[in-house]
Amino acid sequence: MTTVVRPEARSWPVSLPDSLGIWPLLAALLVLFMLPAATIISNSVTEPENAGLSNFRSVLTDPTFAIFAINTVRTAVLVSIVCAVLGYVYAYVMYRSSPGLRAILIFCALLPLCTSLLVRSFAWTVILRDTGIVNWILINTGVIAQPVGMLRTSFAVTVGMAQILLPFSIFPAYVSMARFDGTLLRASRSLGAGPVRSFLEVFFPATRVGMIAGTVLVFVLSLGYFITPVLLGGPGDQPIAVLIDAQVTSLLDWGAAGAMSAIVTFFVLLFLAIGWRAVSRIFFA
Amino acid sequence: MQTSSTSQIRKASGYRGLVTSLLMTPILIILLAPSLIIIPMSFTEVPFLSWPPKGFSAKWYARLFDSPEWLASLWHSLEVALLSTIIAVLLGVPAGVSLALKQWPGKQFVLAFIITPLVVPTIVVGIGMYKIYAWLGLFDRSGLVAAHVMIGVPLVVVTTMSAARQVNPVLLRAARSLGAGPVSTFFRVTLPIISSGVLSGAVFAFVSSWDEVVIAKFLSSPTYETAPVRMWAQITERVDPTVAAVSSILFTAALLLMISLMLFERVRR
Repeated sequence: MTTVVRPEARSWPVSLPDSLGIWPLLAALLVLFMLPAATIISNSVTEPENAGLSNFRSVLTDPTFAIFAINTVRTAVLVSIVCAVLGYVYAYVMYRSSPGLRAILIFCALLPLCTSLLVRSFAWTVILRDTGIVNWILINTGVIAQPVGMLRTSFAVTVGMAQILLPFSIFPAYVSMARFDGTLLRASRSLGAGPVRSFLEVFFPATRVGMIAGTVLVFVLSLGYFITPVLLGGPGDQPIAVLIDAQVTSLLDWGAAGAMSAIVTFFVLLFLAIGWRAVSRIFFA
Repeated sequence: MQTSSTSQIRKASGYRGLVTSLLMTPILIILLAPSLIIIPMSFTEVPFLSWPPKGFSAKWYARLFDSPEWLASLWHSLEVALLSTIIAVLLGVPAGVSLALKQWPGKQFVLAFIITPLVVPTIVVGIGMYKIYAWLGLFDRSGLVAAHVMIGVPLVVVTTMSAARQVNPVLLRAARSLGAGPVSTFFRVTLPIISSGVLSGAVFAFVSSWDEVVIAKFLSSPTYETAPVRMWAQITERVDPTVAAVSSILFTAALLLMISLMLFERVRR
């Protein structure tokens, strides 16, 4: 670094590759992330020895796996729909608010990130249980006489996961709205379109990409959820992640765990690849 | 034109105010309720969590600070979060800068690769690390730090990248042509411009480690467990308000961090 470069020199004497900054990270990712993930997935064909595709065959024909897979997909779809709608509404209100109110709304959307996922799921058990807050309010206002069972239901899982994943749909939707050219709306209004038509034919199509990006992330992330369904769900809400955990911690069946991991990871990456254009337009453009 | 359409929008949002608040109230309740109930719950007098909290007592905090296990777990969480954040910044910032400002082939592919630790289910990553890290000689603290670097570093890369996009390449060329080498150009031109992006990435990485339980569950041992792992064990066995007290401490710490980040941003502007 003591080399003196004359002002007119255009390039550094020892030329460093432009991609230099990426290499330490890629090396770390390969050893510390890819190697473990690849090992688990390859376990599906190597455990027990010469397993071939037998693990996949037994997992895919196992009715238990089918039930857990259906639970996973049903929860992910429900959570994605709830987050897509609520996130878009929230982002739209943020977009139309004054800067002060918008700052408050951004803070409210970020606040959940300060609370650990574990704590928030645990908090829902306190809110939704028979002696919890919701039943306490409903009984004290005379709406109901007996507590309504809400904990250990799909409803609890959906609310708990939607709460955790909402920021992932709010911010992409907001990013696409902030990039929207407001003059287009004025143009459509001055050309005679009413507010509803302007929204549906001008604003929504232009900001849909944010909603798609957020929904892809929410869907993909919900496929792997573990903590929230265990704490809030009933027996009919347990996802594949729970089954994988059981294979490893109680059954010691690494082959089955590997096959299930391979299946979940494949679908996660598949859906991410399908939505990648929208995601990269929001996050990396 | 500008003012008339603005007032039109204002008027429209005026009569839609009712609809807006009807829509927003449930969303805000869902977003905020879990964070807000934990602190009142932690001051209850009775040894179980019920609503409304009975009495007012700090005894669960006293019990927490009297327990060497809880104190050790909080200390381990802090240690792992700080170390993994530092390493994530050291690995992630050069990568983010290179992705945003340099030209080389295959960027989209590399970017997708860097993001994968965020989307591959943590259970898959956790059992994989459980199997491989011991073989690599990574145990307890080193294993947890390595794992949390992997989930924190994508966040640092993304925030650094979006900050580095704001850097005008002309400034970098100017610094270079005035005789600064690549290293001093980075520290004296690029880094000051992207510092707020780096800082928010670091905060996100810290919080994600501070929070993480699924991978930590597999990598911690009875002699080295983090607070979330200890909480998970407690929650699944029997719940007493000590868990609410720990949660309140975790929440307050993360909240103060987030607020100081926002204030810092405001001061800088």
